[in-house]
Amino acid sequence: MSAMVACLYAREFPAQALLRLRPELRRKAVAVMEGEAPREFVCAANELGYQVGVERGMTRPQMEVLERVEVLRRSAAEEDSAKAALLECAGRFSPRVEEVQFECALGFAVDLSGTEKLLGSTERIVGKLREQAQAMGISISVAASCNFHTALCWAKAHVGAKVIPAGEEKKTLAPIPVDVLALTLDQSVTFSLWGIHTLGALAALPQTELVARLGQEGKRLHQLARGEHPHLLKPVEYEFALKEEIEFEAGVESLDSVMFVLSPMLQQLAVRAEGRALALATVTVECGLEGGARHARTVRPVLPTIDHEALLKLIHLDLIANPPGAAVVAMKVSAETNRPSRAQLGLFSPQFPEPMRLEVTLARLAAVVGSAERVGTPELVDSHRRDGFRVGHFAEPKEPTLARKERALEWGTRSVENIRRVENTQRVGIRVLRPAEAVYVQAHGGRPQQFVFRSEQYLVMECYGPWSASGDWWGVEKWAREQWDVVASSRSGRPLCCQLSSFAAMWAVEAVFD
Amino acid sequence: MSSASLLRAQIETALSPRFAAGFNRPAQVSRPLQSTGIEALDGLLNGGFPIGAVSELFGPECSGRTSIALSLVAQVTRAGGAAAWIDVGDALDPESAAACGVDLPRLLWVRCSEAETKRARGKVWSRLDQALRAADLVLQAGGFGAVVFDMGAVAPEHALRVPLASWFRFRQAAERTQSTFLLLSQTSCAKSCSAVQLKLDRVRTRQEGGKVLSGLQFQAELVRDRGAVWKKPAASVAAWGQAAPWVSER
Repeated sequence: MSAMVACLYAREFPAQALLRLRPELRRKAVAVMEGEAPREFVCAANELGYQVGVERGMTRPQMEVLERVEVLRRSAAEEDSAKAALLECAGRFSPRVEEVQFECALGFAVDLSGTEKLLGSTERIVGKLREQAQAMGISISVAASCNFHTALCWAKAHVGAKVIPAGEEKKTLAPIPVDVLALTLDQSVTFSLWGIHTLGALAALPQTELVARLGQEGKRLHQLARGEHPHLLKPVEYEFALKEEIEFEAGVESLDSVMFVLSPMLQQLAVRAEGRALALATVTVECGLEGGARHARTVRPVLPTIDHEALLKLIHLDLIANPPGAAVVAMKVSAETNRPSRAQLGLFSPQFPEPMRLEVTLARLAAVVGSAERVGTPELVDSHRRDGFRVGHFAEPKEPTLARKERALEWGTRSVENIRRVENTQRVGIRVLRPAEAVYVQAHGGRPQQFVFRSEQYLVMECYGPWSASGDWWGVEKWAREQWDVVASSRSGRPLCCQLSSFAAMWAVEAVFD
Repeated sequence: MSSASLLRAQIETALSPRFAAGFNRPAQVSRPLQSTGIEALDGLLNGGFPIGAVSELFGPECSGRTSIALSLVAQVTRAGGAAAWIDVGDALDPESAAACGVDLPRLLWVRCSEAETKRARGKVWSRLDQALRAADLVLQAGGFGAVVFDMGAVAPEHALRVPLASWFRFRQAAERTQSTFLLLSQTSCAKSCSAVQLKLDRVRTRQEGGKVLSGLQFQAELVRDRGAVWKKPAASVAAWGQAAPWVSER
């Protein structure tokens, strides 16, 4: 079985790399310039740009004459990101990928030998390659052939996808212009003088006569034109790293604008992770600020996910809480991956919020109440101090429910009836006043008799205590109090059951029974 | 068929082509019920609070609203579900909640803050605004078996300012997400949006030998129960006792 090679060719690559993360510019005429001012020149443009008169090599004053053309600066960082994305795309079909260097284009050769049984027919693979590159925001031409140079020449000369059957290389290449072979100026002039304009005409020349006039280079060109020149594939080794970078023309102060740019970057990372059956576990956004400072924020969703919208919302809420503080001039997004979360739900499994949605809801709740510490699950700490708790992150617990745990613990020691009775024992709820409200108390023999609470006088009907408590006496946060459980009634007959505490002759209502 | 029914049927038949919607009686929905874990109260409510509806507990402080709510949350969390407690006054006591049997890791506690949070475009949210917004978010997220909206410490004059549209929205969201939405307040706020209204107003103490407060007695009156439209409730008042957290079971 003969080897099959697919060649991917992304023309106008500097422009495509910039437009990949700027979808709003894709419907406009765009030109990309490189070089130092004032010697800048156009190195690439999109199709709309060429339609309005942009040409390669145009200078800045020439560009200023043209209206409605967006001019961007060439960015090596964004080209690297786009190249990594396209390499990633090619790598999904074969581990043997060779990079082909061009000045303003990018090419990859993918060895498809032996992949038919795994991925389907060559036509199908070629179609998928093009679709997946399109999903990455890069438009490519793809051609597959047994001869590397034949596939590359076709991809350079055409837009679309094609599989060239074995033996039809010469016929397929015949109508393609001879310029596709990257001729030197001398060769180009010579062929022009000879009236050779297509590869078919070049292939029809006698090889011996051609070698006599052009040397060994003539033999190479002749073989290329006939689709017979051999090629040894040199695969590249690349590291899987999820990174996207963008540089702004001017500083961006509005957070909404930053999020607008961040959205396609996250989408690209999610697509690349999904291609490897992975999900994003952490996402780090690093903003380059005006003045040279950097502002980095990392978001860790509770479960690895490829839901880029949810991640975007989490980053948005995080940046609202921790704004950059200056105009953003560049942005770099990197992500770490992990296996996507999978949950096997039972038919009768209890209801619990969907993890990723819950994560976004928690972030939104934290933004509403002003602090992430005010949203979560209460965790008791080992202390008798009032408010002996901390607030932890709320997520579906991995442990069994309290009822199951208690059953497991107590099954051996108590009867089923006892356990049910304990579960059914109802307790009084307590409402804590934060902070405790100071009250004026009239006491007799140290016991409260009556007190004024919220501008109303209460007569103590029943009083239990004092219950002394203290703790942390070994540290600076030592505390002590005497507590009374009080049942009181106001003059209007309103009852009040509360916990009064006294410390250093100061009285306060700490909690009410409700 | 009685003459009145016959007349009504004739009128409806005559007018139904012109006003079809007016004569489509909404189907009587039999809602599933969430037990409160308090036998007397479950008896009063014919099984518990309706799931997917707004239930309202109102009464003065010390009337037992928090105890009932904690008991309900305990039932939900012990069954493996999640519950949310939107705390307008930041008054929930986690120790007391744990003593009531609440599985704390399954409880989402939203503590509205005294400091007014500044929002985009210069908008400022007070505690009650924060709580209303939080309730919207929690209900929209779905998956919570019970959502307690604790306005127990909010004065009636402030609580009544909450627009009826908010309660209507919560009712719709609770129905959609099949969540038991429990509103604790000092006065009835949700009006017609609530399926169940319980009025709590009396408290008595229980003591052990005059030394320790061992528990409280509460009493509830059923003001409204939409689930029992076609049948008259057997009783409209229930009384029960609840032990203090420090009293050990025997």
